[in-house]
Amino acid sequence: MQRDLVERARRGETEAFDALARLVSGRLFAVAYRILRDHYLAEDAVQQTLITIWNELPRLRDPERFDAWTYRLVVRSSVAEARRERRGGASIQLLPEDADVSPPPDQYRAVADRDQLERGFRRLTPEQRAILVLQHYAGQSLAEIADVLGIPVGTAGSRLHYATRALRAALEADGRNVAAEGRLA
Amino acid sequence: MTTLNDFDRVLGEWLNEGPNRVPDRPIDLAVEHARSHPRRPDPIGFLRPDPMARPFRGLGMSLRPAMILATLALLLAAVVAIGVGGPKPSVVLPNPSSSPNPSPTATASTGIIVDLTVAAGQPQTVDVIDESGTLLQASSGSPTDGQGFPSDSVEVMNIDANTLQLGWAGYPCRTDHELRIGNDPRVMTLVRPPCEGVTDSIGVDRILILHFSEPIVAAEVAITIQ
Repeated sequence: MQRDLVERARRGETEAFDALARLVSGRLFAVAYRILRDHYLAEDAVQQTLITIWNELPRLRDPERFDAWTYRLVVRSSVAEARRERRGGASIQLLPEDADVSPPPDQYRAVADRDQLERGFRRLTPEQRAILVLQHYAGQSLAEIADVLGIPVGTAGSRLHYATRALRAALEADGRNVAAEGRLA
Repeated sequence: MTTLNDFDRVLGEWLNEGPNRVPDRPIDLAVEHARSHPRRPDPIGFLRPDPMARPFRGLGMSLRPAMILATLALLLAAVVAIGVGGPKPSVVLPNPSSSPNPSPTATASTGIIVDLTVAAGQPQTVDVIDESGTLLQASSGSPTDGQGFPSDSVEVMNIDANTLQLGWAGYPCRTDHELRIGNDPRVMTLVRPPCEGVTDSIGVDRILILHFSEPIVAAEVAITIQ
């Protein structure tokens, strides 16, 4: 079904593009949100991705490569949004009423873990966040990540290693700060 | 913090928390963009690189010279075609028709044609040609009776961060305007053909609403009238 929609949208059928956009945007939004950690920035990244899909789709020779290509586009849009946001300073994050937030799967996991992860993850560069999301959320292999990012597999492995190390370092630093605050209190 | 041994599991579970359903707004805006930017024929599309093409390696290297040769062949064919055509004889073109039905060339456009709502007089259209790629939608506003806008300039104001309202006045004859939005969307040119024949001397307002994909500040917009 998706292949048919891709081919029809590539020929310029807006109805097919409409259906295709609705079919893939959930996946794109999920990735964008996890990189950006902001609902509205993720919406903007998805919108930009969909517009690029419409504009550039005729250049995509192989419809089977559509999924990888759209991952690449949404990662690029998300990184661009994150950089723009950084230049613009801090923002207030509001969650829309209809936001679909799943409950935590493990009720026993300490809330502190998630808060620490959130803080640590936000300290990473957008590119580091993206590669962690592709592996740990999208479940992509190193070869798939390399394909999505358009880099050699070795480079993807190296980036993943450094991103993981940076996150661990951020978590450890955060843990030390929390402990120091505890001693001062 | 959880021990580092189950770091991957904890990170994966944490990333799985969060929204997976996208609101309709970004999809609707993208579809609007697609409808207002229909795909145009691209005669050299086959020469454009595939965004997911593998890097040139091994046998693939032979493709690069092939593409260069194809481009050179096209350029050569274009030069020959221009040379064979030679200088064009001068042709006396007839005056534009004053018929209310525009000629096919008048409507041959690559932009969005907006039927402007007018309080009085003949139909008005504006052909919006966007070179910036940031225009998502163009539509008419609803002017009131009489003339409220200047006739020698265009008043620009923000409706919201991404939306501009353009207002100007003109005689109530049939007019097919053209609005060119440059590579920088803050630079625009409004082409306003003069009225033909007899017309009412009282001006009427035109209002055009432009919705962009990114914020645009009315005070920074410069519009030239031709």
